[in-house]
Amino acid sequence: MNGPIAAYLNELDDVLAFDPSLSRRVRDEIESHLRDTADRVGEAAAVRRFGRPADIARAYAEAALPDRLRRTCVAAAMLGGGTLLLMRLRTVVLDIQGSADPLTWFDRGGLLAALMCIGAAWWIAPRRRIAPVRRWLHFAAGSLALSVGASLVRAFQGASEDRAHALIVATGLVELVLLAVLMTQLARLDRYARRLAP
Amino acid sequence: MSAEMLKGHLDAVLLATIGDDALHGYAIIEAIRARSGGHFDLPEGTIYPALHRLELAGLLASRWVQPDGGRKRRVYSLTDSGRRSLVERRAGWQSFATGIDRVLGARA
Repeated sequence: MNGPIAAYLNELDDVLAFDPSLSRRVRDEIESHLRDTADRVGEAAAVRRFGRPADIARAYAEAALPDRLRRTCVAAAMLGGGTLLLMRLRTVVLDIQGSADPLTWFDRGGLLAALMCIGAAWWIAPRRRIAPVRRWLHFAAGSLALSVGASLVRAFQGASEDRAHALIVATGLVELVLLAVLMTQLARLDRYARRLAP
Repeated sequence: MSAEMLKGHLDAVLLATIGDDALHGYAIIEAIRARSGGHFDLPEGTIYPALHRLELAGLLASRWVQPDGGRKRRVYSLTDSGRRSLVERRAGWQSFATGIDRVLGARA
C-alpha cells in the first residue's frame, strides 16, 4: 500500500522500534484514526494534522516510562528476593558453613550490595528519573551476577552427593532465568532512555 | 484556550469526555471539539499517548471492536479507578475555578 498514510506509518514504525509491542499496538490504532480523518480531509492533510512521528514516539515513551520503570524494578526485586531465598535454601539444605574466603565475601557482599541498589532504584523510580534508576539497576545486576556465581561455586565445593549437585543446578538455573529477565527489562529501559534523550 | 494551557488538564478532559461511554480516539477528539464549542482543537497526535498513559495508570480500559463492514477501532472506557479519579478531578477543578473566578473577578 502506498500513499502518505502508509509512508507515515512506516516512519512511525521506525521511531517506535525501541518497543516492538508498543509499535504494533500504536500502528493499528493510528492507522484507523488517519483513515477516518482522511475520509474527510484527504491523506496528506490527515498526516499533517497528526504531528511528526518523532514527536509522537517521544510522547509515547514519556507516557509509558512510569510503567517501564515499575516493571524493571519489579524484575530487579524478584531477582534480589529470589536469589536471597535460593541462597538460603542451598545454605540450609547443604549445611554450608560461613567462612572468611573471598567466595563468601562475593556471595554475601554481592547480594547485600545488589539489594541496596534495588532499594535505591525503587526509591527513585516514582520521580521518573530514568538515568539514576538505570545506573542503580545495572549495579544491582552486576552485583547479583557476581553473588550468584560465587554462591554456586561455594555450594559445589561443599557438595559431594548427586542430590546436592541437582539442587545446586536447579536453583542456579532459576537464578540465571531471573537474571535474564532483569537483563531483558534493563535492555528495554535503555532503549526508552535513548528515545527520551534530548 | 491554547493547547499549552489545556495540557495540564488533558487527563481530566479525556476522562470527562469518555464518561460512561466507550469511545475510540477519533470520536474522543471530535467530542472534545464539539463540547468545547470549537475552543479545544488539540493536535490529534497528542491524544493517543495520553490515552495510553491513562490506561497504564489503570484509569482506562481498552478493547478492539469492529462493526459489520466498518473499520477496526480501539475503544476506551473508564475503569472504577477512572470514575473515582474523575470525581476527584471535578471537585479539584471546581475549587480551583472558584478561586480563580474570585481573584480575577475582584480585579475586574
